[in-house]
Amino acid sequence: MMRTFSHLMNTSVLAGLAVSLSTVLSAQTPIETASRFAESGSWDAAYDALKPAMQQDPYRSDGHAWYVLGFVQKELHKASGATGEEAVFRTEAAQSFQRALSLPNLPAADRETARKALDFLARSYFRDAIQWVEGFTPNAEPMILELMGRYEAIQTSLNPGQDLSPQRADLHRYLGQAYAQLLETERFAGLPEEQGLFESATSHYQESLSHDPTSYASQYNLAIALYNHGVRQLKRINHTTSMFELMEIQDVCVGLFEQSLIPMRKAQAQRPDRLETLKGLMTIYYALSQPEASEEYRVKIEEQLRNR
Amino acid sequence: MMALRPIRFLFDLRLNRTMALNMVWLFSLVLLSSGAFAQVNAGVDETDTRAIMQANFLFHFAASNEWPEEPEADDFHIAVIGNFRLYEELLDKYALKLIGALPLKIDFFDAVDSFLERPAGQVVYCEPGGGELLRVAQQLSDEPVLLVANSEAALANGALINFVAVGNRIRYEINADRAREKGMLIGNKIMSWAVKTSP
Repeated sequence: MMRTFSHLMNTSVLAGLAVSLSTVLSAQTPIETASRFAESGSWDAAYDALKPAMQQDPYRSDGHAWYVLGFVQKELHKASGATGEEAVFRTEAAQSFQRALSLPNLPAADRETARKALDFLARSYFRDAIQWVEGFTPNAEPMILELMGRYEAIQTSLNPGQDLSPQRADLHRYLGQAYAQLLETERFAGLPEEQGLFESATSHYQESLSHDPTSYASQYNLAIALYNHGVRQLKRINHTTSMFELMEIQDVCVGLFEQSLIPMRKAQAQRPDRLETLKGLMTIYYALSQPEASEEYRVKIEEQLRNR
Repeated sequence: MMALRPIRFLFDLRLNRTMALNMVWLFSLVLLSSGAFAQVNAGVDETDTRAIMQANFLFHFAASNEWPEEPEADDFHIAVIGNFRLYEELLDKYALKLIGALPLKIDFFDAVDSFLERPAGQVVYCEPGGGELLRVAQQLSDEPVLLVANSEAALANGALINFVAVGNRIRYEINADRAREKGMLIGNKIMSWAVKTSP
């Protein structure tokens, strides 16, 4: 009997609190309600309280309201752990912060914080793009480029004169390496996809070089991708290969070896003492039936090793 | 109206924490962009590309010629003098393939002297040139053996076929007259791809 009474009391207290809270909340503006929920870390509730109001006056032209919404969305994004296209709250947060920054009534202090938050979101796009490259599959490339595009768009909106070529060059070099690594696994050996992977690898290295022509790594990697693809063709020669096919394969390979010589020379010119480029040039000249030139680089390698 | 300062303070705090956590990321970004984080590919494939080509040529030289009948022969031999990687390539891809009705065997000799002690093979590839090649050619002068070389003036030194570089490619020249003198019939296919057919 006592237990039932106590239970009834608790229920009535809770009900009373709920009514009071409801009364208090209903007296607040959506932005006040959202702020209160945000303070307690109830980001979902804050979002639900504020989002529907943002399409109505006066909030849709209220810089601070967009700023608060952006912050709530940013926290929701972080809590979700979503990446790539699934990170819906990140997209929404970026849009809200950009909207806030576009409104003249955004307080100066909010403006500065919004810029920092937007910068954080931008860098998360770039970081996300790099992470997707690390676990690369060719299907992910459009999304990776989309993520990079968003990073660049936000950074450009924050700092219109900023040069993002180094990041763009790095991303394409990473993509080139990702395709090259797929080729090295031999999973696609002799399959129609192999040529596409090779073309993707080399075109990403070339794209990387168009953004940063001084990139030693891109020059070297491009040379390796071209040369090793030639060697892959040669390795398929066997007793079933006719003389005609042999000559055709040789033409293709020599073409690739000749192409590889150009970036390998450029890489070597940038870092004349690197053993890997000396070895690369020694090997390429050997494959091009130029033993004297190959020997020249072999001697340089020996000198390098002696001087260590 | 509720004061908004606390939430701004909260936002700033959270942002500062986020930024602090992301200092590591920023540092990585700087390293990445400066090239210090740069990674290069595994490296140049060290496969002996010339050995691959030469091995296939040697196989065609063996398979496309008409060889004198040797009723007692159990197998067909290609001997390689002084080029171990070429020997390995032949062994890997062509050993036991049929030349006519005979299984192909590959023999390796590290130097001309060791070959001359126990000459063997219907096709002999000799890596050393000059006087060394001449010694091999003299030893085989009366034998129906196809001596293949890879050196300067090799046809003048007795080789019947010599690998040459033409436009960065491996091709070969043939001493057709000498081959005829030795009673060897070099196949049309081999003749047609040669860059030169007399010394």
